[in-house]
Amino acid sequence: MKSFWQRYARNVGGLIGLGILGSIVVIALFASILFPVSPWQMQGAPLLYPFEEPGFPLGTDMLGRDIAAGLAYGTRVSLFVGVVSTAFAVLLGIGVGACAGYFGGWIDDALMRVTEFFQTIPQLAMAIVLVAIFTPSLPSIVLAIALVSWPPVARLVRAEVLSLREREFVEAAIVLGRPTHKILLDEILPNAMPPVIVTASLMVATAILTEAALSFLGLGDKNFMSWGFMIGAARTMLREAPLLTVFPGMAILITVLAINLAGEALNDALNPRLRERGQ
Amino acid sequence: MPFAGFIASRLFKALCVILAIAALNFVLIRLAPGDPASVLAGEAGATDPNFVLELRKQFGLDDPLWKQLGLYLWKVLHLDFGYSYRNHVPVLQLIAERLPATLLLMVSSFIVSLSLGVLFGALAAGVSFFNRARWLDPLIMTVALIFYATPLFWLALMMVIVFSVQLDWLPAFGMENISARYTGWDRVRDIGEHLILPTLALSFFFMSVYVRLTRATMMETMLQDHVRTAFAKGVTPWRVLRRHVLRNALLPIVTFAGLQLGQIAGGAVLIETVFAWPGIGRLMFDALLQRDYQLLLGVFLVTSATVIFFNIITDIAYRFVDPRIRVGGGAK
Amino acid sequence: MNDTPIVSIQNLSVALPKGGDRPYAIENVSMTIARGEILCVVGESGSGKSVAASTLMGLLPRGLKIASGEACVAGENVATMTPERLRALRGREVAMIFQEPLSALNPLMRIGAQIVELFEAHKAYPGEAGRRRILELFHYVGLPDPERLIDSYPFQLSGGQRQRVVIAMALALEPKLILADEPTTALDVTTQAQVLDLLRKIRREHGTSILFVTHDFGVVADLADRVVVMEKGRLIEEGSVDQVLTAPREPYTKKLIAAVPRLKPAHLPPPGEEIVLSLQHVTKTYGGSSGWFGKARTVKAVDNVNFTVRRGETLGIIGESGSGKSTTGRIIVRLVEPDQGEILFHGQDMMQLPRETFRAKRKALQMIFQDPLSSLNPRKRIRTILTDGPLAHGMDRATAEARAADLMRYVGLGEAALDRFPHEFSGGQRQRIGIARALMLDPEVIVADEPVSALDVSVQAQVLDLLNELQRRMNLALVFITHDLRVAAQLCHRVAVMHRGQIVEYGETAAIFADPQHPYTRQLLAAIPGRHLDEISA
Repeated sequence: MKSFWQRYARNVGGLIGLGILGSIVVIALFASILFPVSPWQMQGAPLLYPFEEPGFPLGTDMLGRDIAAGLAYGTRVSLFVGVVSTAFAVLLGIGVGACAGYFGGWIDDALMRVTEFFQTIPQLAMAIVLVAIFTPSLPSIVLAIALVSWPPVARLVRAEVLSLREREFVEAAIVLGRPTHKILLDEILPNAMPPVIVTASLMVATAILTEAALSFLGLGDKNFMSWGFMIGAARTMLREAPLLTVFPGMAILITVLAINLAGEALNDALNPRLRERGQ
Repeated sequence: MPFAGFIASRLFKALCVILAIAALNFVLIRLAPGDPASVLAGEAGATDPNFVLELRKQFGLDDPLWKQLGLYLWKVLHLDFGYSYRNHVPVLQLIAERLPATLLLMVSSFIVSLSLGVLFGALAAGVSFFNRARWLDPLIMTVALIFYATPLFWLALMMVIVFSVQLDWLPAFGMENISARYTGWDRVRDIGEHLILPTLALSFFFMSVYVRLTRATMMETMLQDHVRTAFAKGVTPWRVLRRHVLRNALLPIVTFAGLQLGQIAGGAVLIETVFAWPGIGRLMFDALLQRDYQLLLGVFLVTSATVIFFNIITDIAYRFVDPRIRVGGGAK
Repeated sequence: MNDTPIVSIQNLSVALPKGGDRPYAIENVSMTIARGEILCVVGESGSGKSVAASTLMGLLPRGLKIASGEACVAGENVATMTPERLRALRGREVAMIFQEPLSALNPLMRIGAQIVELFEAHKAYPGEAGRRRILELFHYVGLPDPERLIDSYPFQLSGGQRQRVVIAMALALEPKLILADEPTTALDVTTQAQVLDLLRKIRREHGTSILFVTHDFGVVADLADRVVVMEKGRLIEEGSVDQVLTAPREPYTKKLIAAVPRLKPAHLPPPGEEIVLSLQHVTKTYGGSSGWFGKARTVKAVDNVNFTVRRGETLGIIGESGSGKSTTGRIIVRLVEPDQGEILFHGQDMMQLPRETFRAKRKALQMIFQDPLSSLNPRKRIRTILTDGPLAHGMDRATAEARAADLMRYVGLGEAALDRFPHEFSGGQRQRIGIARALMLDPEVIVADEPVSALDVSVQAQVLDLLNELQRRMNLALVFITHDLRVAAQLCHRVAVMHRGQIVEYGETAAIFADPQHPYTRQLLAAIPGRHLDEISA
């Protein structure tokens, strides 16, 4: 059996994705050093083209704000919302799914009804309503995205737990007399994790898209510059200055693409059998 | 389960879900910061004390909570979603006017994304199956991955830039050219032209989802024993692909398509906003701008109800595709 | 009659994908099958015994390629055929029966349509003639109610019925050769006997040649004219069935045949007197509620079961799939809660104990599982797998680890095994670990649920020896659940035969084997493949 990294490294796309993702994280960490002036600050003449004036490699927007600075600061919001909301959603999903799968019976019935309910509701519409009613802010955005994105995790964990619960090593643990919480936490959940990790990595990408959509609709946190906001603001200038829309969109596209590439490589590395079967 | 019983239980379940969403709406209003009445009245209405007072009375805000909830659900059951102070019309009327446009957009996008998605997904799986033109597989999958990673609203804006602003091929805004006063087929053609960009913009993301799903399911099906049996019968590969691989792969695709409807409805909010499409998604955006929460919640409820309705339709479709459900229980 | 052999395989090598544990799936294999002959290819898992059959059909699994040699059907080399010629051959001249009847048919197509598809592919029996032919075939293979079956879906049929459908399909165009890849392995022994009868009838009445792949020497003894023995991709012995079974030349063949448990009950040391475990009126019903609008259906999985096990005694619970034997075993260790009845351990009813109190008692009631792959947690080292149980019962870590090391040596794996993961072991080794795990808690009762049915026959013999020795040494009360009467004969003092949830016969093994009273027991004993084998090797 080869090590995890050897299997991951076989996937060229995964390496590219990881490389891009690494650079994005670096930009997010050092945004305030790279661009010491706030991205909201009007710094130059409005609507400069890229490289038209030194110091503004990607030009300026209609208010003379530095586009490059906006993009750099936008990585922070995107990554933060993507990671934190996914973390909450995964925790909630694991809790619900594990209880439903392990205890079965009416607990399973009740929890799965709730899960189905949340899955039926149009996710984006619900996120919009939640953020609008609780007033737009980073916490409300994170909470809203977490609340609409946990059901797939719950279903996945439940399915894994259901199949693992029937596995003989779990029955063996019961017969050995291990207590229930140990069986769930020590025998079942570690074996259910690989697909959850893969799903979580792809959920980060979806969360970033959702955050962008919310800020595009004007539901972003007004204290932080974000890519969706930049696109929303540049919309009115679509005809005159299309590049204002193009750049932040490309930033989202590249980030989400990189996460997806990394996620697929992760899947291949964590579930080697599936890959061999698929060839 | 007999068909009538199935429909009855499904409809009952749908009603429960809708009432649960209404209850969720109720809870949200109560959890929102500030007095429920002024939250409901929104930014504009809050300045009018008469309106706030009327709202308090209308929602029985001085009654105990359970009574308020009962009243609210009762109203929802009678399709009373409240009054939009901004537009000076009942919320239901606003939604009813806008719903057909959204349905048109959703249905056309669903058809386009599902049919093209299954087509390209089957093509990607098929070239591996026949071991011919294998380069098509990574090509299709790469394009699908890129569309999967593209924000819907941004793709819509890019299409506007290219096809409306630069090439001037298609109209970018609205659902029809009202000033032209088209009638009959001319009007249909006009709406059709307006429909193309929004439909495509909304479809590409879901198309990529279906491409990936179709390919994965078909690859999985190809490895099943019954496919080998078909080959052992001397059946041609083309027929094996159609009758044994694609047909069996369609089942999970139908299930998944049903689950994706909610996402299409959410995407429609963004697409309608970009293209000024006069549907309930655009209405939702307007409600956001105007902080008209009664309207916002009404749209949310109706959007969810629409999704539930389409879910029932896919469930029925599933019953007709899968004999294990149609014929019923394992007999021996 | 034409005397070119129907099958002629010459120096055939089939390459495995690079990076495997060996370069060839089969290497330099030659064999022929005469017209009307049944050739059995025997081997253990990984011997490459199925590869020749797949090659003859042109249906090698992905990644496998013919490296050299030829595989001819009626003088025509399959390796050089055009795809069109190959398709014309498949189904018409050569037909195949696969191992898994449950998955061999398309779940979404009616049974009849799947056979019609065969007719269409070969432009035979158009229209109404096709339907008549299918009815005729269903009748021939002994399927009940052909008119109804023809329009049924696979899920509506039992496993045995589906295998008959597959056989009917194979017969439909009267091929000259039928390739059967372990077609009875997934079936119950009585169904297996019927399918073997059917294959003999087909050969007798149609002169069809059959290549039959199997791991079971009992089946070989009942069916074969000639036998080929495979080991690790090589053909090591070939001969007539009598010659190979009575006078095998190769030591490997001798070992395989010797490993088949004899039917004559073994002489076992007498068990003790003290009754350790006793089941009284135990009943378990499955099914019940199925939603608001559906009808409830119930199955009595275990129906008023009574038996006792004494110290030092092995009780065999024998039955086919669905007989309730596994459920009974699970009820003893309370993996399944019975609806009614008492489980008396040293006279105390375990069912009356609250869950937590019972958890402490679990030490005494242990279980050995069927599947050596799934019975060990893949993420844990053997050390943890063995010590988890004792630690849960309050043993200190040092004592537990010392005991684990002792037991590893005892089951023949050595102390070094403790630091490794389950996937580093073979199936038989994993089963030894499973046995050690059960012994860690020093139990008085062990329930063993088909502990050797997933193992190759040579490994099976070693594990059975180990169990036998342990039971004697530790004076265990052993409940041994099996479908295999040969295994039961070698291991059990007494047996309980289960059928549809009930014990239909219960008593001393030797007495029951010599003089079965219940018709079902007689049927089971008669269906054991290779009774003939015992006579010739006796």
